[in-house]
Amino acid sequence: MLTHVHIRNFRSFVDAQTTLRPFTLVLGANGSGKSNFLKFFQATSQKCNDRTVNGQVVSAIPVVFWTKHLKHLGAPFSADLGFTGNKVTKLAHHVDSQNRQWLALTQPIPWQATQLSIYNPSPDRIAAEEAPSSSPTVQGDGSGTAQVLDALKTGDREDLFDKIEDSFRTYVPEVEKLSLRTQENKKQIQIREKGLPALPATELSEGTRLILCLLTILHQEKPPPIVLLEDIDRGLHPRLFEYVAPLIRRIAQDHDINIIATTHNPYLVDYFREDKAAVVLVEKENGESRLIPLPDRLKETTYSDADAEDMPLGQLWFSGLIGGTPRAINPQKKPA
Amino acid sequence: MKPALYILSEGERDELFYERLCERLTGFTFSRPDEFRSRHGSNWKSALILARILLDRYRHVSAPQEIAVMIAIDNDRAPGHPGGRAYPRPLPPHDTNKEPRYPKLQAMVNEKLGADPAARNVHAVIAMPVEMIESWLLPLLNAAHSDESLPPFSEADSSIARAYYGGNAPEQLKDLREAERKARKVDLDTLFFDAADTSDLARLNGSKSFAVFREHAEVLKTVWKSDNSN
Repeated sequence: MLTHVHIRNFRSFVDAQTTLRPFTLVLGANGSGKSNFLKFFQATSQKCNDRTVNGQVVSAIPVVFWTKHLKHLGAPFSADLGFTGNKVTKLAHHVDSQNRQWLALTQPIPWQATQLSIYNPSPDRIAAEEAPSSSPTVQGDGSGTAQVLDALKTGDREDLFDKIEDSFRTYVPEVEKLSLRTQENKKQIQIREKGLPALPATELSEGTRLILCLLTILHQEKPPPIVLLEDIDRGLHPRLFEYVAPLIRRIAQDHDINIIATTHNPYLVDYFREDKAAVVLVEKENGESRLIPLPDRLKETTYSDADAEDMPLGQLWFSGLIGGTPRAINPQKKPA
Repeated sequence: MKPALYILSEGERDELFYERLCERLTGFTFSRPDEFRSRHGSNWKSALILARILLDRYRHVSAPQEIAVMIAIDNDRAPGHPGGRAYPRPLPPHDTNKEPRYPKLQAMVNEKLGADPAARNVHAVIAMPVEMIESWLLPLLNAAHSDESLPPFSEADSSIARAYYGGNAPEQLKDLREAERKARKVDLDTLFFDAADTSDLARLNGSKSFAVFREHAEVLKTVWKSDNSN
């Protein structure tokens, strides 16, 4: 599992590092660099080529997938990835005699060449009819959800389908049965609510579809080594965070993977009070994004003295006292 | 360099209102590099803890600084405010049993910064209207709204107001504010800012809670030597 990351010269990051937990929550103002943080992992998962560096053949990622910081276009980029057991993979920038550039990996990484998706599902895609696939995966936009569910249900991993269905019923108690219907050889998710006939997913609320997609992403037969979730709270009722946060943490631990999610929701942040090291703040100053593990920022406060019931962690974040919030929208703003 | 004023409030509208009042009372204009918020509708204890953390952030200086922290919290009919009001009929137990806010907040400020306001390195201004921000806004907007005539509750159709009045309640603070806004045909931001910016502050002479705020703000005038008055 990835425990530490150090990024140099990638998109809005010039020199930023942080620790990571199995389930890491990334907080920050709009435009602070949260999505760029997810894109960093996506960039490291691109297809590799073999290159020779100092007489040794190494895996290398073409730099076409990398975007440098606009103020540091002439500087190299690199990164360190720390894993459990103090293993470190370094990504170093090389330019060969033919002026070809790549990032050489000193050690293989678990998600090498997996082409990670950043999940930001569209309710319409989740509900769409899909032709069965021989190698189904949920895509970043939520397409593939029906394919994965169908493969689990009809393959030999009905246990995973049942887990998804059980969790889905927990979070959406009106649901009685989750199934797939066939229309002209295409599959579509359908739900039967108590006392009602089965309805296609297009008839479900957007939030309900997003919950199902999230559960499917997490319960795929082979979840990616890093699951990247943009705006994880989207469509979820705040009360569900009490159950969803531990579920995601448990899945990450069980599979020994990292789940990294962005959010703007203080209610979700509340559920990280017992795992503050899992919260990372992203802040941008002078066009450069920084990563700050929450415990580092909390050292500057007396928050630990506060009663949890009187002072939820999300409230503290919302206040601006630990950063990761928008700057004054317009300090000089005065109504005309 | 402008003195720095850090404000903990529920939102930008409140922040601008209190900042402008403070500017007019002190003659200073402030820099305001950060904005601090208590979540709208959150409980008073959360606000108290945030205020404590905010003071902790700035108090560790060894020499006097032109830094002030303003804590803006509604009194919401809690007892114990030195600017408290007596109403024609007693407030319900829901309110009288509330923890006193102002004394607790003032005690925390004294503990963190020292009991003598003039001797502090970093200063504090408590903006705690009795009972809420509209209690200061309304007299500024309309001389007909004297402090003594203002109702105690937020909205007439709230259950607590209906219970207090034994049925239909007269217009309460936010209802009166809305009437003023409609009469002027402006948005709320403009209503609040214009009231703080141009109204005659003497209209709040009858407000004891505003007098407390004025006293805190005017300490800044006596201890700071800045010449950037507006």
